[in-house]
Amino acid sequence: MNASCQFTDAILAHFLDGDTLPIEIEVDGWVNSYTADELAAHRGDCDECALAMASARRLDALVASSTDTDLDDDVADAWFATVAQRFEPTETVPERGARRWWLPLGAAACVAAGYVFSQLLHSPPETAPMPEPVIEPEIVEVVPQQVLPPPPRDLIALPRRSPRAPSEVRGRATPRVASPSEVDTACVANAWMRAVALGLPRTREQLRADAEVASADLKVDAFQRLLAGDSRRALPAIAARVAGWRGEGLDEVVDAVRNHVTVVSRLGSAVVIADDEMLAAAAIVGGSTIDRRIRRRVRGDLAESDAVVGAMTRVTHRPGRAALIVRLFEELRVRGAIADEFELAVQWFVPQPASCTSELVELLRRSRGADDRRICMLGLAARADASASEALIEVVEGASQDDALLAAFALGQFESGADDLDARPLRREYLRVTALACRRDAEVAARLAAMRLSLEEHLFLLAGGFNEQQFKIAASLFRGRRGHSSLSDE
Amino acid sequence: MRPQLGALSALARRITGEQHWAEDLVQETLVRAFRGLDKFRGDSGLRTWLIRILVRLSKEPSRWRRGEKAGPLEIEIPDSMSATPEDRVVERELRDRLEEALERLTPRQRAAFHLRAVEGMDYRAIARSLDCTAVAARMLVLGARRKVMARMGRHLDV
Repeated sequence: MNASCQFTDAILAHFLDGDTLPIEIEVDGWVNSYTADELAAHRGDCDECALAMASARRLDALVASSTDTDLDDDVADAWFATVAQRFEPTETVPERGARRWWLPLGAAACVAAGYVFSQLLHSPPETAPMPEPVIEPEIVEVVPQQVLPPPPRDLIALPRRSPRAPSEVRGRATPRVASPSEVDTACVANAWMRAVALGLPRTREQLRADAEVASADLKVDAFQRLLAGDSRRALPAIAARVAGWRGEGLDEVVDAVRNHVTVVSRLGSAVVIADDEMLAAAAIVGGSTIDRRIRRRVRGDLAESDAVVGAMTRVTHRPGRAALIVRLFEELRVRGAIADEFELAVQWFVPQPASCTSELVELLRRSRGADDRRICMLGLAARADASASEALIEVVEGASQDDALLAAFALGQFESGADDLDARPLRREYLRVTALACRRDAEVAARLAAMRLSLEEHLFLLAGGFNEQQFKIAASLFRGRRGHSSLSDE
Repeated sequence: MRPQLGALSALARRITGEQHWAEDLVQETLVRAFRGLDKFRGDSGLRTWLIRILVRLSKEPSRWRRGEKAGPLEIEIPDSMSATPEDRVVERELRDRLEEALERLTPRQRAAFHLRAVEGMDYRAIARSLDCTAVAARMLVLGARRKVMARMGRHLDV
């Protein structure tokens, strides 16, 4: 707003904010007070003020609608719990006058006990006979040294101690937590040393398998401890652990993060600005708030969207997985950033775990937007999961012709015999037959024989395996050249 | 106090520009409010009293914030209800620009504008919340609005 009219502020204050304070306006070097009627008269004549009023109204409405003043009960509970903790006494302070008379006595007793113990240790055996250690020969198996495997190479190469950062030396630094690879190595080393000590011949592969089991438990325990600490300071470490997790235990760890309201909240805030590791961790953890922020962060960027979708494949249970992928897909689609939609659907939806299909089906059933439904059906087509068959058949039988065509295309991607489509007459029979032709179902050959087709068309329909465009052509052929009364569209 | 938490949280988010700082600020506000509950005389509403504590605290970050870098302003953006994808893109861009524009205001301007546009407070109530005069509150609101409108340019044209 480059207001050159001196009245604009007064008009806004009076008519938009309900200002009843006297306002003085400088016009042509003279400062005057203006009444409400005079301001109203000016407002009626001045285009600039009228435009400013309209823009300011829109701005206020935009700010109000962009601000979420709702708060989850869980968050409110967590806040009140934190506040309540602040009022609890942290330690019992002894009364000023009360003397701890027992402290010197206890210290003297400790010194005396230490002296007696050291005398016992250093005394000759004849004065204080020690019991002989009992060795059971049948338990200890002596194995020749050459049978033992050499220590793992990466163990030898591991530095004994990492150099300390200056901040660590000073004290109040984030406590260093071993990286997953360091934990793995430590577990292999531990298993190797135990095997050597017990004289058990173990191959390197056996040792590594043992170590993997042990390291998964250790890593989960370490992560739980990290989570229980100060979530603000530990957030980068938590994100790094989640994003860099390898092997078993990821679902357990992610569940622990999801149950930690504060960490989820901090992660949601950080994902908009933070590094790729934070983004990957957020993609794995998920949830409506985090997903909304992920969308803001990766809006229109295929590379970042790819990273998010890739991260999601690593966790089995994730709320809103399909919804987020559909949203990201849509963002790219409206920007014209997708060359081949089905190929992207294959790339994004196929690697996702099985639960993605049911989420897509749910989304397809309740979605009212044509774009969303299209992406859902492309996803189902890419996944070719027969559990979605019923939902897709419902769409083929539905009111929308475009949806029916795409749903039939999705059904055509299933394996032949994966569902009962071949034995199930539909209202749009030509779409059913096209889907079967796409699957190269045996039933189609008989149908083709009854149709009036050129050799080229015949071979095209017989070949099957259509892409989306080819499917449309095939459907129009089955519909237009039908030699069979059953291939009606109603 | 629970019904006031949403409004407090939104204002704290607007002032601090970061969700977890906003949480810290609201929590500290609650602590101060509980401690000083006996001093609440009811001259103003509970919400105004809490907002006043929050705004005062926001000026002293060391009391509720511990050495962490600030991020950009974080605003919850509800999902769009526009009809077409193109409309949605335009609306999202509009909201992004709004976010950037608000980020450039001073914390007091942000607070004043938020209290006016979101809470619907008049200048006198804003003045009570921000510990200033009503004229100063008017200057803060108008200044904030002018800056944001200048930054958003034709995006606000009706």
